[in-house]
Amino acid sequence: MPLGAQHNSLSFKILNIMKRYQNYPGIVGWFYGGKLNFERILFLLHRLTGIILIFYLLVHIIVVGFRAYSPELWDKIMKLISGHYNGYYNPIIYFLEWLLLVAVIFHMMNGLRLIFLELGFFIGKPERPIYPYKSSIDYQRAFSWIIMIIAGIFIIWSLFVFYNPLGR
Amino acid sequence: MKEGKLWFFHIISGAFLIILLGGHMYYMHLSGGDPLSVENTFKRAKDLFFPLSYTIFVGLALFHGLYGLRGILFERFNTTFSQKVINVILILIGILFFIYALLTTWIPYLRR
Amino acid sequence: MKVKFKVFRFNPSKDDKPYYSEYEIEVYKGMTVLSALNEIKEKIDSTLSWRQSCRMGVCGSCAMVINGKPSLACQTQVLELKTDEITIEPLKSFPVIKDLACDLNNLFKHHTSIKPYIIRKDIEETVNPKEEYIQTPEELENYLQFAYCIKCGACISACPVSQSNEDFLGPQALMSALRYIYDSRDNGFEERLAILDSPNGCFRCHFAQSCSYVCPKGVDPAKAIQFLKREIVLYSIGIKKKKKISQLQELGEKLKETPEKYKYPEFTIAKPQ
Repeated sequence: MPLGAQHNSLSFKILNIMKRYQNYPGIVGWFYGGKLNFERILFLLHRLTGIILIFYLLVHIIVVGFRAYSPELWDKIMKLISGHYNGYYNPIIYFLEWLLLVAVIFHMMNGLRLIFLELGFFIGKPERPIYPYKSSIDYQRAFSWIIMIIAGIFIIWSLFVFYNPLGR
Repeated sequence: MKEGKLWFFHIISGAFLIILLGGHMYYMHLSGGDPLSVENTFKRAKDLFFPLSYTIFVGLALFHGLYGLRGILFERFNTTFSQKVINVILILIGILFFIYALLTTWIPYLRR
Repeated sequence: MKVKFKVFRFNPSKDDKPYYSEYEIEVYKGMTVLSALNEIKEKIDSTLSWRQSCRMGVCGSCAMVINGKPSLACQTQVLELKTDEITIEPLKSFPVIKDLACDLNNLFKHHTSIKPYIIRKDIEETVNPKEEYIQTPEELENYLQFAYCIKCGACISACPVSQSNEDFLGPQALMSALRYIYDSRDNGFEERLAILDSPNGCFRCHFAQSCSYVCPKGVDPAKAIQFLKREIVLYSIGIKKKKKISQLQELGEKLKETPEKYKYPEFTIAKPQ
């Protein structure tokens, strides 16, 4: 039974009527991008890769800091953590390192796109809204597609560099 | 005024990071040889170019990343008090990690 | 043909949690979602509640989330959605009062906090106006697009930042701020700067552009917020654009001849004798 239904007094009636359903999606709201526009998915990926990268950076500073101690300690740490070191090959960590490189490439390319768009370039100028409306989404589509294709080329290139399927 | 300046520096550091991180990726993956081996690592520690560029790199990267994290956290915690607390925590983390990075890049160079 | 409507229901005096009710009605070509809701209320379930007013897309009352996209119910044709099952929910990032009606206090609070009126240094003229301010059509085009906002709340519902942070000013307030900053009659940029430059101001926007995607009037809040960022950044690093403030029209000006380019075209109908 809801809170106020048990009592019939006026204050509880008012309390019930003033009860609101708090309709804030929060973090789940980041993922509605599929129903809305393409740039929303780019925003979500930029945010996720950013979170991965900042936490990776903090760990990376500590790991690379081990080079200041002694060659033996560096050797031991690299054998443990690196995917490909001096003949020791760990396929899982190597794959994760490739995923990290993909995250870096995407974040860099989308960041380059955002530098231009968030300062007001390539999004058109104020004009009267005449139906069918042409919004900033249409003006920046071409630029965004170019950036994403360049990012795709870099990612495929990184796949060749890491896994060398042509055997050269 | 403060938010505008911080955001503008976030954008500028992002632009510099594209160049620096691109160079870092190129050096680590495309320059041939094993950049992580013991000899190469210690050769880099003795050359002046690397500690200098690493210092600038890590400083810009820490600012850029922690400002981004601050933006995400400010969406969840939007009272003035919690925002001040987050500011202090993130500045502390940034300074601590920057000092550690400074020490681990410059001490091997100064002891070469 | 018959179409099934899944409608969000919540009655604060009876329910703990919201639920969905399903209704099936016959639709005809040209029926809008608003007409469908009225049909449901008349013939099937009269406890369904929502807001509506003009039924022609100029008041902004009937904004709701239809199949995942915030839009005006009176401007959405049922058959154009091309599906048998339509889900109708109230606007996100606003508390729900009952069924599809939500509490828009946040929208109005943020809108008033950015001072949505012309601010000039001359208080006497503002309180006792005597004349008009001169504004050329080019200066009008600079901000006219952002003035067509009908305050429906669809952009705030679609914005991912507003969905997590109820104190974020939202695309509607930020676009209104730019509408006044770009207005050549206005001289109040510094006064609005404190609220716009705050931790909940325009720099929490990350350009997801969902606001422009769902806007039913095409006023493009995303573009406005990026222009606003540019203005604030240029101001904070010291590059101040000397803005031409519109001056009062003197009485003598009215009697002067209109310039050629602003004259109206010739009459095509003969005047009555």
